Parts: sequence; C-alpha cells; structure tokens
Amino acid sequence: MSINRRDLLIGGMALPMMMGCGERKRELRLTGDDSAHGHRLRTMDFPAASDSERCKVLILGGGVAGCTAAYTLKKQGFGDYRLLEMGGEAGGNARSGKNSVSDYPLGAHYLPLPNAEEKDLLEFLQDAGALQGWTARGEPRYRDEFLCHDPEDRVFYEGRWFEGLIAWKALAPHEVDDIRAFFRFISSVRQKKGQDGRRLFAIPLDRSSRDSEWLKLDLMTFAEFVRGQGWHSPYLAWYLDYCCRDDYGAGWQDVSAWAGLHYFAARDAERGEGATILTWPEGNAWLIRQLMKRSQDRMIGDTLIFRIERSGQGFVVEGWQSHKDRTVRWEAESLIVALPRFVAQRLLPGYAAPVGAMSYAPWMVANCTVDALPQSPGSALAWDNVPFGSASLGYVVATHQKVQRYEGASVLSSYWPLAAQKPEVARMMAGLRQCHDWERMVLADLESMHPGISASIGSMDFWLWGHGMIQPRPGFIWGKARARLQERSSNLAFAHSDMSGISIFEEAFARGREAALHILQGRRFG
Amino acid sequence: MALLLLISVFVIATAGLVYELIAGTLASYLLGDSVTQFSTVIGVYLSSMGVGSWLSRYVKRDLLRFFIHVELLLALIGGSSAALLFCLFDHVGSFRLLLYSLVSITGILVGVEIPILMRILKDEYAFQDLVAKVFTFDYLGALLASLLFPLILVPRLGLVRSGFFFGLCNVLVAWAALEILGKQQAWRNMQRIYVLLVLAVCSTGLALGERLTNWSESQNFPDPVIAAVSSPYQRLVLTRNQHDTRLFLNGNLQFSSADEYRYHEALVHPGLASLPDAKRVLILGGGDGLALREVLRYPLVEQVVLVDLDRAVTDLASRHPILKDLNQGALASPKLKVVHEDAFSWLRSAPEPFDFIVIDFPDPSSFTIGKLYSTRFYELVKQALKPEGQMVVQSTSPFYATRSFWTIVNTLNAVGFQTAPYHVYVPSFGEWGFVLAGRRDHSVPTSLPRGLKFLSPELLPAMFHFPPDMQATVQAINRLDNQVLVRTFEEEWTRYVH
Repeated sequence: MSINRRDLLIGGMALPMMMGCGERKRELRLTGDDSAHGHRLRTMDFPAASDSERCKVLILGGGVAGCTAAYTLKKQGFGDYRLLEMGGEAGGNARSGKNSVSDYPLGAHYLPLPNAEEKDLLEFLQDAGALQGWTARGEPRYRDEFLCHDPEDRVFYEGRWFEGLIAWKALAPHEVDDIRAFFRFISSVRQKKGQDGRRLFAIPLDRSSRDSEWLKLDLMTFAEFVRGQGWHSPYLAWYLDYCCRDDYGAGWQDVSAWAGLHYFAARDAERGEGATILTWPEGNAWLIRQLMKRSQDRMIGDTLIFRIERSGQGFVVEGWQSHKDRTVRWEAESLIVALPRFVAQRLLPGYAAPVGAMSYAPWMVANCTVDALPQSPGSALAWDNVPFGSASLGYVVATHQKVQRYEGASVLSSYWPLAAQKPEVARMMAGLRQCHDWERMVLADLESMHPGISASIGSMDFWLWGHGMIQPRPGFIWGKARARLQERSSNLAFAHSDMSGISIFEEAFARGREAALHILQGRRFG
Repeated sequence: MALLLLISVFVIATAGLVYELIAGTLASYLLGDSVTQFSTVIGVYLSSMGVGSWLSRYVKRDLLRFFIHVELLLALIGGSSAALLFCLFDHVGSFRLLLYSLVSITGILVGVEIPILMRILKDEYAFQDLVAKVFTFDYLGALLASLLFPLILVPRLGLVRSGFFFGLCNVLVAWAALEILGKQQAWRNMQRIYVLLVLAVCSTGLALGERLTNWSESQNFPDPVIAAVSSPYQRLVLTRNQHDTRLFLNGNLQFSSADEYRYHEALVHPGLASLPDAKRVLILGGGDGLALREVLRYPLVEQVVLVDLDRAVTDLASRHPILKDLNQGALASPKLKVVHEDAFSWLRSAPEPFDFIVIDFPDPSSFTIGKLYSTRFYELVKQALKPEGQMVVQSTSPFYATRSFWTIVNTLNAVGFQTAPYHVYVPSFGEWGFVLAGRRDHSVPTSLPRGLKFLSPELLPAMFHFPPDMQATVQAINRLDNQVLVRTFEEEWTRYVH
C-alpha cells in the first residue's frame, strides 16, 4: 500500500497541530494482563499451603470459557463448584474499565448477532435479557439498547469519512469490481455445503464441513488465496488485512485462507438494514456479568494457580493469593482448565502443545477520554471509526449506545493489534514502550483523522495484552497440533478459545459449555 | 493648502453623514419600526450638531490642535459606533440610551468641526467666499454619503467596516492638518502618536470587520442579525426585517413571527382541544415558549412541564423583548416548570403521566436527533402518557419529505399508538405535517379556544385529509439500530436543497 501525496499532506497538516496541543497535561496510565505475579511462576517461590478447601468441580480461569463453564454447571442444577481466577475479577480479555465519563472495554467489545443454529448462545442471550423473544415471522427481537445503534461503522479514506468500511464512492471502477467479486464469492460460499452435508464454515468452527477440498485452504495464507483469485484491488487488500487484524490479531499474510473466509462466510447474510452486532459501553464485560450472575459467590479472585497434581480419583490444586500472601490448597474431583494453553501446559505438562504450534497476538488498547466528540467532514460519527491504511483498527465510541441527544465527554477506545512483527518480537517491543511512546503513537493516529483532537484528550489508559488472542496461522486450525489439544479424560476437561484457533466469544462460550457438560456426564457415568 | 482643507471639509461631511446613517440603520435593525428610528436619530443628530456649533465659540486658543483632537475623537467614536452598538445590544440595560448618547456625541463633534475649520481658514479667503466654499463642499459630501451608503458601503463593506472606514478618513484628515498646518508646533510629535494610535484602532476594526461582533454570520442570513448566542449544543440566531423576526437554530429556520401562529396553533389545538379535562401537559423541545403560549390558553391546565435541553433557548425566549412579546411572556407562567435536560434521559426517570404531550423537536436531519423519533423513544413517551392522553409530534413536511412523514406515522403505529396525521400550510415552511397519537382514537374537537388567528372548527376536518401528492406507502420503522428516518429525510430534502 503506497502513501499518496494527499495522505502525506493531510498527515503533515496534523503535525503542527499536535506540536501545539501536546502541551496539555494528560493523565497516562499503563497496565495489562502480563502481571508481575504471573512471572513468579518461573521462580516458584510460593509459601506452603496454609488453608485447604474441597469441592467437586474446580474451574481454573475466569475468562469467557471459564465463566461459561460456571454458568452451564449452575444451569444444569449443579452447585458444588469453584472458579479460580488470577485477576481481581472475571472476564479475561472481555474485561472493562470505568471512569467518571463512561464504562469502556479493555478488549473484546461486541458480539455479532448469532446464527439461528447457535441455539445455546441464543438461549443464554435470552436468559441475560438481551434477546426478548421472537417475532411472528420467527426473527429474534433483541433489546434496542444493546443492538448497535446506527451508524455502525465508517472508514476514513483520503481525508474524508465514508459510511461502512468500503469507501465505495471514492474507489476506481476496477477496485469496485474486485470488491464486488469478493463479496459475491462469499455469499456463494455461505450457501454451500461440503460433501459431508455440513456448512462449509460454521460457528463453532468444529461444526464446519471436513470436505478436504476446502480444508486445503487452511494451508495457504488468506493473501495468497485472494490474489490467486485475481482480485488485486489495493483497497480490498487493506480491507481484508484489516478484518484479519481485527478478529485474529494477525495480518492477512499470516492468517490461513480458511480462517479468513470463516470471518466472512460463517455468519448468515446481514439483514438489509439494522444492527449486525450487540454491544455495550463496557464491551463484552456485560456478557461476563450475565454469565457470572449466579456464580459470583463461587468465584475466588486474585489466585495464581502454580501446581496441579493428580491425587487418587481427583486433583490437588495449589494457588497463591498475593493480597494475603498465602497459599490455598483445593481438593477437587473434577477439573475444568479454562486457561490459555501456554499457561495450562506448565501446570499439566502431559497436555502441552508442540513447541511453536500456537502463537498468540499481543494487543494494546488505549482508552482516551475526550472532552467532546470529534467532528469531521463526511459521514457522521459511528460506533466504529476506522482509518484506512493505519496500523491501528481505529476507535470505538464507548458512549455510542447512550441515547442522550448531545454527549459532551466520551471515551474513545483505540485498538492496536501489534501485528507488524512476529508475536515474540512485537511482545518484547511492546514491553519496552513507556506511556509516552504509546501516547505519541495513539495521538498521531487520532490526529490523522481529527486534526487538533489532542487538545481535548484529558487522559489515556493503555492496556497491554501480552497474549491477547490465538492466531489462526496456516495449518493450525486443521492440523495435528490443534487436534491434540482436544484430549481430555472423564474428570479433566480443557476449555479455551485457543483450542479453536480463533478467539471469538462464540468459540470460548462453546468450549466452556462443552467442558462443563462433559464433566457432568463423567460424574454421572464415571 | 486651502484646497486641501476644503477637501477635508468634503471628507468630514461625508463621514459625519455616514455615522448618522449607520446609527439610523442599526436602530431600525435592532429595534424595528424604521420610520421612528430614522426620524429620532436624525433629530438627535442635527440638534447635537447645533449644540456643537454653539459650543465652538468657547474654543479660543490652539484651534488647530483642537481640530485634530476633534477629528481623532470622531474617528474613534463614530468609527466604532456600529461595532459598539452591535456588541453591546444584548448587554446594556437601555439600548436606546446608548444609541442616543453615541448619536449626540457624534453630532456634537461634527457640529464643532466645521466652525473651527472655518476659523482656521478665515485668513485664506474672503468671508463670503469662505462660507460659499465650505458649505458647497459640506453639502456635496452629504450627497456623496447618501449615495455611497446604500449602493456601496452596506452591500460591500457592511455596517461595522463602513464605520471604521470613515473613522480612517477622519484620522487621515487629522494627520493632513497636522503635517501641513502644524509644521512649527512643538506638540507635533505628541499628536503624531495620537494619530498613529487611532489609525491602528480603525485599521484593526476595518480588517476584522464583522468578526468583531457576533454578527459575522450576517451574510448567511437574508435579514440583519439582531441577536446571536452560542450554546454547547447549537448556534441561535435571531434576524429581523421590517416584516418579521426569525429564529434560526444552527442555520435552520425555527419560526418566522409572520406566520408562527399557524404552526403553533396547529401543533397544539387539534390535540389539546379534544381533551377538555387535560390538566398536565408536557412539552418536549419548544424552548421558544410559542407552543407554551398556545397551551396556556386553556385555563383548566394546571401544570406544564417544558423539557428543552438548551438553556440558551429558554433564556433568550424569556429575556429578549421581541421574543417575550411573541410568546406573551409565557415562560414566566406560574404553571410552568422548565427542565433543562435531554428528553430521552428525562423520560427514563419515569415522570408522573401527562394528559397531553407536545413533541416539537427539530427535523430528523442528524443521527442524534433521529433517535428522538425512534420506537425506543416513543415507548418511553407512551409510558409518560395517561391512558386517555394524546400526544402530538411535529413530523416535517408531508409534501417535501413524504416518505419521512409516513415513516414517523409508521413508527408510532409500531409502538401501538392509534395515529391521526394532519397537515397545515405555513407560508415560511410550506405544507407542514403533524401526527396525533394515543392509545385511543383521536376525535376531532368541535370547539377551540377563543382568540385564534388561524384555526377554526370548520378548518379542522380538512386538515386530516391527505391529497394524493402527500401520500406514500412505507413499511419502514425507525429504530435506534437502523435510523431509516434520518436516511430517508436526507434523501428527500437534498432534492430541494441542492
């Protein structure tokens, strides 16, 4: 993607403004998931257990999968379980922050409207009150407050905002042709079934067809596939790369073609109008709260698990609680390990993934508190505001779902998949950056869209995800390594989206539910 | 040298008359009734000139220095008079006092300058020659001013810059007099500093022009702007000509005093007159107090709650004399409770239900306003409406934006209201539409309050009839997540705007 003269000019105009405005005293905070506590696992200098507790099922990890496991156990009428979580609260990468202006997401922040086949998820949404029922024509009725209000997204292209993510009106005819051809291909794939009669791309993805013709696509990159089809539009290239970075934390040259197509073809065609996603100011933390509604008293936070051992028919788990500086020992009959595999395999070496098979994307999310919402030429401010050609994914307006006619202050969540280098390198570089480095990076990006906006940014909260999400690199989803991750026994089950190879709420939800049902079944017949 | 001084006479005569014309014009813009304003301004000005001439006899020494000072003062006061009057209009207790003070001071200064100049020139010419020459140039200058003012100054420069331009002319006359006549004077350098200072003031004024005042947007409006206020939410501009006063919010016409009664009578009475027992009325939007004026015609109404986000609108409407006249001081009614809050969030606080609700929001031209026409919003309004109550929604033009109008009707139906759409002709807007909505059917009232200028019981039934050119079949329902109304509205109006 080349930078044209106009981009340069626009960028250049932004610079002097930034210099002038950089003087505003701004509160900066940098935190993240890569806690110092986690690193204590390397030295293992934990005190001996001072307390001991017992329960039938122990869930390790309070991300979406762990919370769903707890929700499912409770829903099945099973109550003797505990959930151990390293952080102060549950949520994993769906956690949220809050300041005087608004709640805001730290990571995952929306849920696409589920397909009709995703019965379990729909049932949960109904429990949670997000889905209110069905119309006479059988269409789901979601709560207005949670359906993303219009306008949903817009793109900043050549100095102007366009509604939607494709700046149709500004593109040359050959680009339009390529993009249309791509979408035509997607809608044909959406309809298709494989030789085994299954949908080619399904959610959860393990329900997809195993038709080898299509699984082959997992071995090439998405970029290779699209170019092979003869679609050379630079805009399409940016758009697809953007989508991969958005959902997978890796560019289209690092993501498998199968995963790239799954992003588009696994969801039913969009309705003609109206929202395509559910969202909340605090992002998916809202969903977490609903999952944990009946399990709050069973969650034990601030607990770093450092040892898992088999003992008789069950397990002994030891966890260190930093705020009390004590070690607690749990005895459980069954275990649901809802931890990312790179953590789980240190505790259960028998279940380790082959070296190098799994790769996690580092992310940075900057929540910028602004005095006023930015104004700019072209299409009106949307929920998701994406700058063409940027390393960031743009920003989401945390107060978008507020219905007040005029909002003064707001929080803009700027998303940065650190996808330019290999994850190990990007993670190391990210770790070296200070607040002011992130500040410069984010301000330059926002200034390119809204010259002068720096002056209205009062504080910036940077959240660094060292291991933000699993990346579906070529060969992982349908390769041997991932198949091995599914191994379990009657009283030990794993649940995490990294076992799917893509980090979306639906996968984590399905994994958590699956694990809980498996453990319950094991207890009944085991 | 004598010729130069006579040219000065010509220049100062032109400047003097221009100041007077500026004052007259401004007074008619700001206060209305141009005949009275011009007449009084001319009267005050001419009599002040007389006073000035009479006072000139007390000037005994240092005629030249005195003349220079008069010119500089005139440049300063006359030159900035337009800017001062504009800027201070909203801020002074008595605008007339300020106006006539400025006019008298200018008049006195102009009155002084000619006699003094004649005395300076008295050695150059014979008396009869002097009088003839001075007055010739004086009157010729007046002719020039009276032609320049309407043909070039007002259209090209605007009032504020015209003032400063002639201020500059006065400064130049002072400077010329200083350089030519004051060669041997010891005080020359000091005077030069004064000249430069006033020169700087007038040049700055000329350069900044209308930007000095709130009225820089005058060029965007057909009529003179008489008040302008910026609130956190919008820009309020009040304009006025001989016939009417208009309020603009962000450049969109809110009402014209010439026909607003048509709009507001039609907004309120078809609904409220059908509810003889109505005691509690809610007005959403409508901070100008005009819908309120109509509501207050019903003596049985006990309480009116007016929710308007923008304090600036209700402040302007309750303080500005022209607006206060128009809404008949309705905003001071003891029955009224004003709430400055967003209507959406206020309705969420579950207020006690109302008998009649007036929804008078701006047209759905942006996504933020479009939310106030959504199913979610109407559900909340429904909760605030008593079972027998009615609400009325201003619903843009069924002629220019036919599909938008029927989308609003559809959206109200979708929430479970029985609707009764109607329309009236408001000359400054065109054909305009409203929708009555309630849990029960609306019955057209057979009697109306007395004293209306437009509505009558005979007219009412026809308003509910829609001829084919204002009918449309639409299925769309405006929801927060599709905002179809905003999109439809934009499509329909761009046909007329561009």
